[in-house]
Amino acid sequence: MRRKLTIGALVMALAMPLALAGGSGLWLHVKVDDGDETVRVNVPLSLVESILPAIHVDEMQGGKLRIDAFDDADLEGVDLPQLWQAVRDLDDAEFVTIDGRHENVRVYKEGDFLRMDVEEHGDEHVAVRVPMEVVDALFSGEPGELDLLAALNALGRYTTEDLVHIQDGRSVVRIWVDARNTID
Amino acid sequence: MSLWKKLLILGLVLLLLPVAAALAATAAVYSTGTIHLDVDVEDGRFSIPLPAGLLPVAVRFAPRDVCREIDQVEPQWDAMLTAAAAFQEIPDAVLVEVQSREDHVTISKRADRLVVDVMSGSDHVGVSVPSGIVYAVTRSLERTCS
Repeated sequence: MRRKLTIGALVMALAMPLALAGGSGLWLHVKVDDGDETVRVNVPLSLVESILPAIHVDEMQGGKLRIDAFDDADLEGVDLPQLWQAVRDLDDAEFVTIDGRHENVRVYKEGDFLRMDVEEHGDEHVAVRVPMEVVDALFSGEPGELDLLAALNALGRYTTEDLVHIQDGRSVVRIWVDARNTID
Repeated sequence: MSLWKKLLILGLVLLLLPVAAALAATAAVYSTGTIHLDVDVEDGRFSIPLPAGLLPVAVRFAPRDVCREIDQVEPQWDAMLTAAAAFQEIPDAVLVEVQSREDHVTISKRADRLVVDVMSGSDHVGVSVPSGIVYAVTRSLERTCS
């Protein structure tokens, strides 16, 4: 249950900037297939684009997310934009490798994408690819905040592959953006 | 004009006034479109067009329990109203589809209407609402509950 919640939270966190990807006729698609049931969601990004600035709740204010306000985020003394810039300037490489008893985690840079692979020893695999340009846009606001609306415009240019792909046994979760208003 | 003729005209006017008022009220209520409820189940089949204009009015008389339920999720009225307004502008599409072995549920935008279709076995229930009413109902809920 806890693992599902973690995956759910991860999907939501990742879907937020994806859902913000440039409004010009693009659609956010989510497909969840567990073998017995299939859920398909198609949301026009223009809808999300118009709603986001109207949300004012806790750390989310007008399309910007204050990450330094999270209770459990100890970011004092960490300059995230600068840290990101350092990563961005590096050549393609693997930055984080964790070979654990229960899971392997890899965070690496490949071309224009920051990628994360989490493989649990079982049959769960989480693959996330975030365009570098989108991360640039996220950090383009004030220190301590993520500019989700700016990420929106940047993500609109990446409509070719899945941005999130989770395989857990028979269940598959896919999140992607393209110009079609249907799935498959 | 004789007195009886005057009385006849007055009587006709008095008779027609409520009819005209009823027709005007009906036209006003239906001017915002209709809500279609289609039910096709084992026991029978029926289709009811309901005046959509009555829905926002009915919401104003929502019991406080409904508002309490809504308050529990701390609604972001600005965002909800913006979403309801933006919904009118989006193109036709299936927004949500759930397919299981037994059931098939779709929520769509079709011909400027919000359409919900539920197929369960051989049963079908469909509801379609003019998209403008989605905003009106949201606005009415906000005024009633906030």
